[in-house]
Amino acid sequence: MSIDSQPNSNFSILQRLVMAYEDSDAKSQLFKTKLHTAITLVTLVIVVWALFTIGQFMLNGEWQVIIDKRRAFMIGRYPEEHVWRIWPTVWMFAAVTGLSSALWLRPGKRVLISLLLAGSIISYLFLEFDSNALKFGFGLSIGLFGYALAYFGDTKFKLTPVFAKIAIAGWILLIPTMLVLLFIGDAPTTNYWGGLFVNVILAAIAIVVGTPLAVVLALGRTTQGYPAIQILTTSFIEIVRGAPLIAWLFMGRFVLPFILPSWFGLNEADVIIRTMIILIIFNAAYTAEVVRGGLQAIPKGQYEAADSIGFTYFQTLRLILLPQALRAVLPSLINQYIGLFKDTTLVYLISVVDVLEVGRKAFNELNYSGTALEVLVFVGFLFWVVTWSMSNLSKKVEENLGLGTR
Amino acid sequence: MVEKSSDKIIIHAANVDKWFGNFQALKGVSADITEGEVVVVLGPSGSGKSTFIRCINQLEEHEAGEIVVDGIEINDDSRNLQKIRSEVGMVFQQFNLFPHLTVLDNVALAPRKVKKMPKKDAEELAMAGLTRVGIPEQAIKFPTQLSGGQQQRVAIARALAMQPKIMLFDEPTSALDPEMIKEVLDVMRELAESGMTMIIVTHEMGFAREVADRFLFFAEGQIVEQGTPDHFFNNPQEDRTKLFLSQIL
Repeated sequence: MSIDSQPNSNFSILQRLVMAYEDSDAKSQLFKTKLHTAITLVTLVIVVWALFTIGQFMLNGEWQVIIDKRRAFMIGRYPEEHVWRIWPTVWMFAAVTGLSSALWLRPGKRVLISLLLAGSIISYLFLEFDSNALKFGFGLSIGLFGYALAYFGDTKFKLTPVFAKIAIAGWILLIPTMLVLLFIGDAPTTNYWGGLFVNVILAAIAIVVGTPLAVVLALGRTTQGYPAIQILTTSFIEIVRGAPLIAWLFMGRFVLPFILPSWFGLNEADVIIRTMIILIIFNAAYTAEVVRGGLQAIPKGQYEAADSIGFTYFQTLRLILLPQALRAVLPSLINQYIGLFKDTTLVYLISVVDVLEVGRKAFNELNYSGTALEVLVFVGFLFWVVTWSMSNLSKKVEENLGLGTR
Repeated sequence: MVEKSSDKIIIHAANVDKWFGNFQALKGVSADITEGEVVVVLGPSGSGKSTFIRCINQLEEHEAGEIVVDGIEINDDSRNLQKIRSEVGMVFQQFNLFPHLTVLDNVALAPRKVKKMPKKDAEELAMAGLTRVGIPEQAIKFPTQLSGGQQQRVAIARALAMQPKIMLFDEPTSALDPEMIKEVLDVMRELAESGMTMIIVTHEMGFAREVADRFLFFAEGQIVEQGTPDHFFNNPQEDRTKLFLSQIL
């Protein structure tokens, strides 16, 4: 029962299934011979059984633990009176995401409607608990407002360049804003950071700071005629890649304070800062190899053409090499980032309470014994939502950039 | 061809040596090229003709000898190199357009970034260039959406956008389908008639005979013979030249 038609990525799985069935080819092939019929029936049984089991689990699971601990899952034991430090970043993220998606990605109506639906459901679920639902809903509205603004600004008023500048500035300022808000005034120390918030911050910093570093490392490793730079960058990459992340995390926790001078401000309390440094370095080493692959795929003729019209090295790099190299390796880059995001769960080993550790602590409580599966499924779901968004985003970006390249 | 505006020597090469490992690609090559001259470089493959023109804008660094372009000597000073490269345009066999940029951006990029021209002016200049090579309607497309002949014409427009004094052509039609060769040669012919100094490596003998003021014949890293097209076709002196001409004509 081979389905010959090319899968069309613009349709959902369900739509594709229906289409495949409507396709006379598949319709006739599902029950073509006795073997076809047998395979179809067996598949059907497996699917029904799986759906039934999942459905039963969803209905009968002890989900109370998720609702009770929802706050800890998100932000650990971050003090209530300081939560205002987190929300503005969320809203800013929503706003720039809304703007950017209208400017560059143009999601279909279906995506928008399902996002709206998901947002409403989450808001509704949280509504009876506290005012965070309102803040969440506010973020959602900001995102939609940004989308609408950029959409009509583009189609009706030709304001795209203005919005593009705002969106780019927003992305650049997002993490600095977040850090400023988290550290100004009498902010809680990083010891209080926890939950999904910690995973997201660690991954975001490692990606945003690590990637430019990776580009520098990759350039160093591919450089011609400067053996000292080549040796230095190659050893850095190979040494960092040579040991497991856990080893580096322990190193950051216990050894780094002795190596770095004290004016670095890394006192015993700042485990998170040290973890950030380790993750930046770790991510940079891996990403450097991805970027190197992209740089090496660029034909020599591109360098020669750039040289022949009088570009300097940095102009060639910025205008010709990096745009092509990074575009070519975008799928591998996203792959690396997804891996890194999930690796942030390892920080529990150096006593940072991330979202997985919150879960583990929760189902070990007497009140919630026997809820391990529910908790793990929920944590898995959170990770899946983030990584799935990342992979979809990269797919969209690839489609947008793909024009004219191959 | 065109009346020479002056006898000013714009490219001076003396005793140029170039090695690739143990292989000597250029053996003491000397040549003077005057402003407005169209020079066609001939020779069997591996004879050093491409290497010679690539030394002029230093895509290849020569090991010994002297190269002076428009009064600027090629030396270790990278500012000299930058200056020379913005005065010397080059067209490659494989076009080497930038695939991630539109045709218009391919042409406008160098004036914008190297000459710091405002975007609007650079784009006007680029459109004028694309009109000159006959494909203004392709401006918003990407290079891969164009035919080979069109891509090569964009490459010529890109080089011309820097308003160079000298144009180098490294086998510009060798990668093209036969029916696209003419459109590229037509552009080059127009360029030659406008008085541009050109050095062309090509195997298109009919075209070469028509536009060239002078032929340089390379063999085994040396200039074996030089002279007018008439000299070459009617009265070649060296045996090596006669053999080559008998093989390609």
